[in-house]
Amino acid sequence: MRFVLTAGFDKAAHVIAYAELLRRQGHDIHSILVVSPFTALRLRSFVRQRGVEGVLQAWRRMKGGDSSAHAHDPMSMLLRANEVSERSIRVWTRNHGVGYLTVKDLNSQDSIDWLHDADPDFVIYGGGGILRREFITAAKRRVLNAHSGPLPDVRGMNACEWSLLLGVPPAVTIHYIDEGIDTGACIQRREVEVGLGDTIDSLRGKCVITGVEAIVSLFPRSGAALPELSSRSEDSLSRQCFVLAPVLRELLERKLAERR
Amino acid sequence: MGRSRIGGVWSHIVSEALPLPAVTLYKESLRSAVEWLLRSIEHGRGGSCACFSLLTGWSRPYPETTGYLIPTLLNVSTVLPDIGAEDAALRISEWLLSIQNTEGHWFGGVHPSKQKLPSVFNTGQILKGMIAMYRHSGDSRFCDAAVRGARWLAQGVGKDGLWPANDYQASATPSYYTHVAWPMLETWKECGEEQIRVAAERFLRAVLRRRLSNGVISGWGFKDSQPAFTHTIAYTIRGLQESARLLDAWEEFGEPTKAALEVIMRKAELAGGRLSGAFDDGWNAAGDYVCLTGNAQLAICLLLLESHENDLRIVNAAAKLVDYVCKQQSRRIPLLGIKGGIAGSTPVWGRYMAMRYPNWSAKYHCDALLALTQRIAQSLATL
Repeated sequence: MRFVLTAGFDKAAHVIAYAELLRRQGHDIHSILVVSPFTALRLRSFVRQRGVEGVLQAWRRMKGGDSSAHAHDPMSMLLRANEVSERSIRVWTRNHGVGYLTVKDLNSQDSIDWLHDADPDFVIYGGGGILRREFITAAKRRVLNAHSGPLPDVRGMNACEWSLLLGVPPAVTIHYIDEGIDTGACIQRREVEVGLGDTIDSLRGKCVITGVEAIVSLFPRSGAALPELSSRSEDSLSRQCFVLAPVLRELLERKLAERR
Repeated sequence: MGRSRIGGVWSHIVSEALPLPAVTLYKESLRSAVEWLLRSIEHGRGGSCACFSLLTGWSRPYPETTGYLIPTLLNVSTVLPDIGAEDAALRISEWLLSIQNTEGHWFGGVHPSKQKLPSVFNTGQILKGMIAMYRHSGDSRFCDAAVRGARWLAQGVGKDGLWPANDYQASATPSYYTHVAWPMLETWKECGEEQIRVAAERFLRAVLRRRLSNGVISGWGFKDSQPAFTHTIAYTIRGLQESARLLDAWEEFGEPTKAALEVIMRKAELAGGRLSGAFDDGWNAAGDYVCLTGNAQLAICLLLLESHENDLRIVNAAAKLVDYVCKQQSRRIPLLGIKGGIAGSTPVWGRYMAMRYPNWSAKYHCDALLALTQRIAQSLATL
């Protein structure tokens, strides 16, 4: 099968993992679309949503983080366990002769033209902002996402954290992306176990790894068919989640600490 | 937010049981805002100054907002017992008693009033203070004053549910006068006079007939033809919510505010708490400024909604609105008219109360901080 992947920044380790593991299963990774984080619009949106401190954290993450934190980052550990040496999407694509395109916006005409030319069987969404109708249509409505929360109950941002705050067992849901926010048809749900020593960061890492494993397992070497699209459930219109306010993040950290 | 519902959690809030860093910041912000309010009373010649102006300094006292400052100060006195809020509340209550007119109403505008026009809205807000002080002290003079005021308000309501003698700037009774129905019902709860309840309910039903399909309640701004500040949007919603509580009729009066609050919640989240200061009837933002008191007031409305929905996603939006106001509070500037105060708008030259620090911005910021902290305390208690 032929895939196009998306990424929100060049050091997105989970996208490298998607690409490498699917390639090893014999699939054709046509290209990876990477959204440039350096647009004024994106920066403004980031600052408004996460504050300056949040932007600085994201900046450190985009740069690959500091080396000591990087060593214990769950995604880095996954890449090491699979003997993947690349830590940059650009480097990975160059090493494997795969296309690489930097775009300001996934919904830009450049991006849509690229998709038409690539004609992929599936697009794996690895980040890059909200997708508009034009992109989804160009991808023949076959855009897959690993959402770090149980759909349709927990949709939106910080889904792993919100699962815990809302008292819903954490899970990753593989679903098609449609024009709504996490409202597309669901394909698979995998629960994520909360261990006694878990923190917000470790749980987020677990969710990302579970998502990578779930999507990769949907496409074995023999090429199994995905479940048929189901119609959208009314329940999918539950209240959307947004980035946690500091006080609720602290409340969740306290909740996790109480378990230890 | 009624003191009775806040009640016993105060001791929990002020104890070391809540060392969350964000809550510590809230407490610092609260203390600073209360100190500003107390300064507004020091300069208030009996009441609390309406505002501190960057151009003209402290204003004359404003009976309307002095009135609804009383429940805030009484609530604060339980959290910050050392700050002198209870004494201040008593002093301004006595002052309000001394300037009530024999018909039961109070005049509009700052005191002393030049035009001496009875004011429906301002009288309503002062009732809140009278009832709060009566419940706190048991002194029947405050209840009597509230009943006289509420009777005057009730007698003024026409068959259509509106007050024909109009106030302020709109052509028909504005929808935000739900914030008058609420204290009328608070008074009815104490005195049991049915004419007061009937009149308040008649007005609330008239307002609900103005509700549009997108959740907007038309006429909720100061002027008919202009976008409404979030300040008066919140007044309208809060009046309905609190009336619903007092009448035990959430479905009839509270639930209809939910659609508007869902829109506000989403806008607040998407803007990281920087909610536009005014909206037209199509929910289009008007102007690039934030009405800070509106932010704080809407945070309280969201928390009241949340008390029915039990959904921390609503608390999250409220927290972002409150956090944004906290960030705009100047706690280090040595100018005492600014330090701890909350401007009308940010930027300070924004359309709502330009260049001024109103006492109600600080009051609602305190109320929002108290309500949010209480909600977080409830969640911590169930960990």
